[in-house]
Amino acid sequence: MLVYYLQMIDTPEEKIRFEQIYLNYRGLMYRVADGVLHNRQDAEDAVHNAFLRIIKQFNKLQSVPGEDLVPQVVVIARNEAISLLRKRRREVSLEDWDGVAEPSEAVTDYHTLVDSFTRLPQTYRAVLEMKLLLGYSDGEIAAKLGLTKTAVSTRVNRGRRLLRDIVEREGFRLDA
Amino acid sequence: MTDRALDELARRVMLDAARQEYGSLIAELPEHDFSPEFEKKMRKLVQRADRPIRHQVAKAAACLLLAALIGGCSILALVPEARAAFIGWMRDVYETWFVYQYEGERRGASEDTVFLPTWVPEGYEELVPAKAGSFVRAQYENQRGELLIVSYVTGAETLSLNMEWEGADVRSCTVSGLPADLYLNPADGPNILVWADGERNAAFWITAALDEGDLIRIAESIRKSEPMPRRYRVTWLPLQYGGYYLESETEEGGSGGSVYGNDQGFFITFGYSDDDARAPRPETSGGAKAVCVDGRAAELYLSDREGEDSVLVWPAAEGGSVLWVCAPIPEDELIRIAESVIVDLNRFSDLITIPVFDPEDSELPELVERALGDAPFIVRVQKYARADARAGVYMSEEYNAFVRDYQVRHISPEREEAIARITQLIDQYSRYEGGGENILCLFGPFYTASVSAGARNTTAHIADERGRMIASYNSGYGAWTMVPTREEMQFDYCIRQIYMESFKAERARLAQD
Repeated sequence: MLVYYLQMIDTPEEKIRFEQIYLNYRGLMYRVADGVLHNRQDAEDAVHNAFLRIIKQFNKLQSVPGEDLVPQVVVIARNEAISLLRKRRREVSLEDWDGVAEPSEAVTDYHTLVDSFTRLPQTYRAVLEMKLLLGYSDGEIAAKLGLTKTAVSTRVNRGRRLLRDIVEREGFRLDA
Repeated sequence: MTDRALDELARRVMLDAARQEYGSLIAELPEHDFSPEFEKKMRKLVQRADRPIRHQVAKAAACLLLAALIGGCSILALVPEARAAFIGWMRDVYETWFVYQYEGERRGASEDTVFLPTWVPEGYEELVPAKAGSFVRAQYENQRGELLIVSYVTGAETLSLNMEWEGADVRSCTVSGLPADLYLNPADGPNILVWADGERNAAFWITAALDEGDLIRIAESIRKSEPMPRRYRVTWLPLQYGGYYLESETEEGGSGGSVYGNDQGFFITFGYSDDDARAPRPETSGGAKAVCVDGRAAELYLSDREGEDSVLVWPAAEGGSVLWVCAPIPEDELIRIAESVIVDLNRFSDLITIPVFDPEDSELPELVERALGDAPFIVRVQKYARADARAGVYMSEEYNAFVRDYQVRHISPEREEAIARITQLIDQYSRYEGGGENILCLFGPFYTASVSAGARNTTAHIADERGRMIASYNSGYGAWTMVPTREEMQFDYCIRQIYMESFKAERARLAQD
């Protein structure tokens, strides 16, 4: 189990905020986790782990704008479910980005970019989300997904390079 | 595009991908009947989060404050005239508030005595006993449920005591020869008597639905208590073994302690007692090793086997108590824990309790029972549930607005008005440098609040007349957080159950059709 830091919730208002997140989104997080695991017990375990994660990163989560909070807890729940799935299944097939993902040349607007991201192989997507959105270290990602740290680093670098190619070619801006 | 901008774009893409993929679920915010095992596990987690250990930061802030006070005092000590001119509580007016501020040498709160009335009107029983600290509050209640609250703040940590006078008839009077202000409630509600006592280093106020004579009699009966046992707490634990939660806490007479645990099955036990024989002194092959804790002689019993507890026993700086810590950690960490122990003094925030909701709690608060017996309301909840089920929407906006409105009118405390009044003062206090706590007393509803302005952020808490926190503000978060009362949580739970039952029944009926 994760080592977590309950001391990080150190004021009553943070505790209340945590409880609000818990009460408002636990059902949603369960449904997201169940969509990956298709098992009630496992999905509940994933939701529990997701809340441990939320506690651990509570300070960071406090600065997430309100409209981004729900998708962010969804991503946390989904990735905890993926992590649990990989632990439950000892053997995990290797995923080939090139075989499944959209060729970068086909991405010509922001919506296609978002769309192609949703079609990335599960573990590739999880690596990028854990690193770039949730701020996990390479070591943490490696432990959660059963990869080597080198594999994590390679995938993150490759993801960044692909995104840069697309951005530079299509001239995306942050307000795209 | 910079790496940072690229990562920001990536984050945007990831969040939008989640929105795209889970959009309908996000809009629906589905409920799920979690297993009892899950509920139990999460309840424990939430309760653990409710009892965090305090950070070293608080101690550092206290040290800085002490340094500032020592600096200020040495200047005043050189100029006796200046010292005399600056000592005492001053009353000022700011908009709709009387502001009582302590000017002069600030003394710390007593660690083992409190000032308490020796007389209260017949029928009042002590409900919440007072504890020593910088904010002291004793609560009494009679059989009709009327409260009598005696509170005071000390000059050392409180920057100001603010009394709202709008809506009150304020009269001058005296308490044992000291000037006092009596805030009379034009309605049949509690009155407030406020006065400052320089010798006792405190500003007092008594809130009760009593007349001037009784309030003054209570005030004049206030005496210093007999020395009370000191309470101690740890302010540092080694984090390299993982985060801790408070596993258990005890306090009885002159003894007490806490057990901290983490999810790796690792425990640290801290204890204190005025009976030296209660300190654990295990038999180890090396016997007791002489070490120092803050310059005082201490005994260290190192464990013979790895993974077993070593024990450090040392005397309290104030004398009279022995303290100990037991944990399977090295000598230097045990000593660091011991040196972080301080006398536990009550502050405003310590008097506030946040309710923990337990759905297994069979005793419903009166307000909730009344709501559940309100047949027209319950019928409308069921009607909304059936309509929502037919429309395929779980808890429609219209339904939520209906229940929220009912809750505000019948269940909730008067939050909005209290928040509006405290918000007025937050900006004012956040301009002060140096930080510290300001206590505010609202008049009708008789709520109490604290506003603390620090270098980095400003926090505020509002407690209702029974000392239960109902709202909290942190400038870092930038908004007020509503703290649900036990009544609100229970109401929400019960109404959800009623709604869900009707919603499911209607869905089942539709599926059959």
